[in-house]
Amino acid sequence: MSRAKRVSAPVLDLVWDDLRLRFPGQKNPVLDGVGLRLEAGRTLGLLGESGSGKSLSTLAALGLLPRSAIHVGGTIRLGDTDLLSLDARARRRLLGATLGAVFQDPSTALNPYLTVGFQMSEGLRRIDGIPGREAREICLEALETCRIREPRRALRSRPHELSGGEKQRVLIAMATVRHPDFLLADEPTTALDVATRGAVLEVLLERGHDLGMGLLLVSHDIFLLGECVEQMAVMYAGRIVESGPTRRLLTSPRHPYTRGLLAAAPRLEGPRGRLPEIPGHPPAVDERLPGCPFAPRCSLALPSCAQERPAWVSLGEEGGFACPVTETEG
Amino acid sequence: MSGAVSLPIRKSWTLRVSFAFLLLVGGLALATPYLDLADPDAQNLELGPTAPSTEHWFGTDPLGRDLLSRTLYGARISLLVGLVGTAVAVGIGVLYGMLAGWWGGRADLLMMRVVDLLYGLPYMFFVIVLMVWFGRSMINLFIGLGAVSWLTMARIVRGQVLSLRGRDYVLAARATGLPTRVILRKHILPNIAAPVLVYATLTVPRVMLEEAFLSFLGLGVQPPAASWGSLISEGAVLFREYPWLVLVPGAILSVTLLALNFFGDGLRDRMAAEDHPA
Amino acid sequence: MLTRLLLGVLTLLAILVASFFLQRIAPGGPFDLERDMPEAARQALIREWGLDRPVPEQLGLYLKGLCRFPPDLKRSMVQPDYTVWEIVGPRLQVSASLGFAALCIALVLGIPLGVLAAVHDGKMADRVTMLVALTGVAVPAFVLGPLLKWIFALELGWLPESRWVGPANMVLPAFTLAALPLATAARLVRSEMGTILRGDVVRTARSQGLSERRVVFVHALPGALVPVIPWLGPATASLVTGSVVVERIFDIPGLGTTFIDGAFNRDYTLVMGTVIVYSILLILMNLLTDGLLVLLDPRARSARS
Repeated sequence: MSRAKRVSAPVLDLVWDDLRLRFPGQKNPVLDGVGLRLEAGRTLGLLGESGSGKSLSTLAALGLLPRSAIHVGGTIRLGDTDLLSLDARARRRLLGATLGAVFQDPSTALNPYLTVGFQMSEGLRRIDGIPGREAREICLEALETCRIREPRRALRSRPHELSGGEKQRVLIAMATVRHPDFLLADEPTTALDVATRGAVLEVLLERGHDLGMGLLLVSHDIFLLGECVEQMAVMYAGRIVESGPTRRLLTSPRHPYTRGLLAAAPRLEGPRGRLPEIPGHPPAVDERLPGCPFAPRCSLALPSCAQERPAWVSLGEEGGFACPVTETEG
Repeated sequence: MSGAVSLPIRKSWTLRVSFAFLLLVGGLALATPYLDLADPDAQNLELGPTAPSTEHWFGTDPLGRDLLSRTLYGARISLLVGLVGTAVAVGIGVLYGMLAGWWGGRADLLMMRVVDLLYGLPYMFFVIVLMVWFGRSMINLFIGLGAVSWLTMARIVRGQVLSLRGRDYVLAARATGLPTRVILRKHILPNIAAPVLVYATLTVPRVMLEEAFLSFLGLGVQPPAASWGSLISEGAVLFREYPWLVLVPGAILSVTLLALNFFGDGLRDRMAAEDHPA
Repeated sequence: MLTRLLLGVLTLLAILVASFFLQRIAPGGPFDLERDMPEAARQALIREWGLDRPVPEQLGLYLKGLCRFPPDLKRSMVQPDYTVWEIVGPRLQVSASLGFAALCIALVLGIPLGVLAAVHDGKMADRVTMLVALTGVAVPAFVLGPLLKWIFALELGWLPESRWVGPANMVLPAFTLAALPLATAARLVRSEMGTILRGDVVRTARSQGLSERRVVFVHALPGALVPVIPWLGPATASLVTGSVVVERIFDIPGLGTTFIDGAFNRDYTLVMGTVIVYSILLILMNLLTDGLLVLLDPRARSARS
């Protein structure tokens, strides 16, 4: 028995617009103009190395940033509402109900002292005011659709009695038990055994599809994203450097960083050989250049790249990218 | 008192203020004999106890002795006991912890189990017994306080040694057949010096507190010598009539202990920050 | 658990043997203080108490007495009209109620203070709370006690200043004794709570849209209490130590005073009696702590079942 989906209001898109964040003690912003659009009911992949700011972008939408983070500019909008200007109460009302979240490490995300059932049903009982018995049924159903074996036993158990894959599936069920409009998943399979990753990812995508949620999938793995999202955005050093439909990004990437990532990733098919890697490392926040942060590692870089911030080149339906050098191609 | 709790105020001004205060107290204690002070033992029975005044800044005790002078001379003894007791504790703790960490395995397990057990004992009773039965001498005081204050140091040193033991340069030294004694002294000791110093700083206020505790019971520093603890002890009996006799040395003792704790915690936080740069 | 109990008994035995030998190798004896006692009478007493025999033999005899039921703690050497238990028993009651009251105060006030400070991390409430807590660590009981007595008993006249006749008399000594463990508990909870509040469990709870109060009290608090439990053992030890001072300041006929008087008078049997009572108390406390940890820690619990 599934709760009737709220049909009244049309679901709006979740839009990050020029979001800039800074941490005290750092002179450069850690997020330097992040723009993303997560369309209702669609899937968006956010690609980036660790430290690129993809997790911060997610946490910002949830209002779960570290307290020291300073909002320098930009907005995260849901329709006409700027999430960043909401007070804590209004913010909280969105969590679980409109925005669900799944994080990287399932081994530490569940509360070890409380049963799975208690944690899962807490939002239903405490916020939606659904009686315990009914809340339990809803949780059972969610666990079942997330392919937890013996969901009744799982409800009674404590997190340490579950395997890593089971925990993450419980967390997916938990994040979606109140049928939010959007699910933000931050590296949801990275901490799992390679063997269980595929199954968990499948559960996540299915669940997102079944509930008609907009799904943001954050990952460092371009091929994992390539297989499961419609749109993709590539992040580097606090900026979005390229975005567009997944097909376009995989077949004709325009930013040198996206190209490097594609070239450096191993493929099962095709000739084997030494993988060309991108030389160097992503810069620390305060080592970023005023121009393009990728310039020092870029084989195409011009002297001006280090100084002038590259303009966004729009490709219309095909997304866009930020590189003045490849702009002149084709 | 747990060693693993950190202070809320990590700004370095606490470190600076406490350091400045400790310098002041230490400097005064060192300079005391050269200052133009009243004789701390000179009695003036006609004067008797007086409240703080311009003549006697901290007042006088029932024997008419100048409390300022007695407090400053008391600082010398309190600090001396704190430092020497800490030195004894550091000696025992470092040796015990190094051996436990170096031997590892069962010996380590057993040795740390003993430390756990001792943690749970009201060890001050041991010092009380020592002072009552074996004489209230300064030597016994140093030994007794040192003997009960080494536990945390041993734990810390053991942890450090355990992690150093597997380092390449230590393994290399072992491979060349250097005797254990030499490896411990040349390769391990210099590398644990920083944490040892920091925790020694935190041991000083504990030892000073313990000395004051004993002196309060009449088992610490013996008259005519006086420490802050024994000044408080003398004053406590007359607290109703002459509260300053307790309040003055009590406040100074408390603030000094506070400063030492702040200082030690500040050093520790700084060291932790250096170990794990954000 | 059984090994723990066994370890406890072993510890008790070790403490007994150590105190027994320490007592006997120290110069002087129980009958030295009565100066006007004729030498012959003194020798007779020494023979009567068996103090002329080899120390191991004395220890054996003493332990044999303990193995009886009820255990024989002997008579007091210095006050032979009383058995050790007659002296220790009533005083244990006094000290235990004082210590228990202090521990309750420490936990009931210290834990919420720690939570408050952690929730307001770095803000004014945190700093004030922690300054109060630090003061509790730095101001020794023998300064705090007279101070509280002065303010609340002598100046304000709200509470009786000393003696031990009713619950009102317990307030000042119990708070004096509670100051240090209160401060320690607050710091322990604050530190652990701070770590938990920055951690994944709380992030998950918050991402569910739960109220901050629920996040703190339902999701963070149980974990923050965990380090308090193993600390209870050492805390009891520190209460026992502190009670010596508090009993003296407030003129309370407790166990700490008994121990010190016994030590001063070389009342061997009385000292041994208090040592035994203290040791059993501490061992029980440690067993209780272990039990609580097993109860609270979900991993330990399922490992057992």
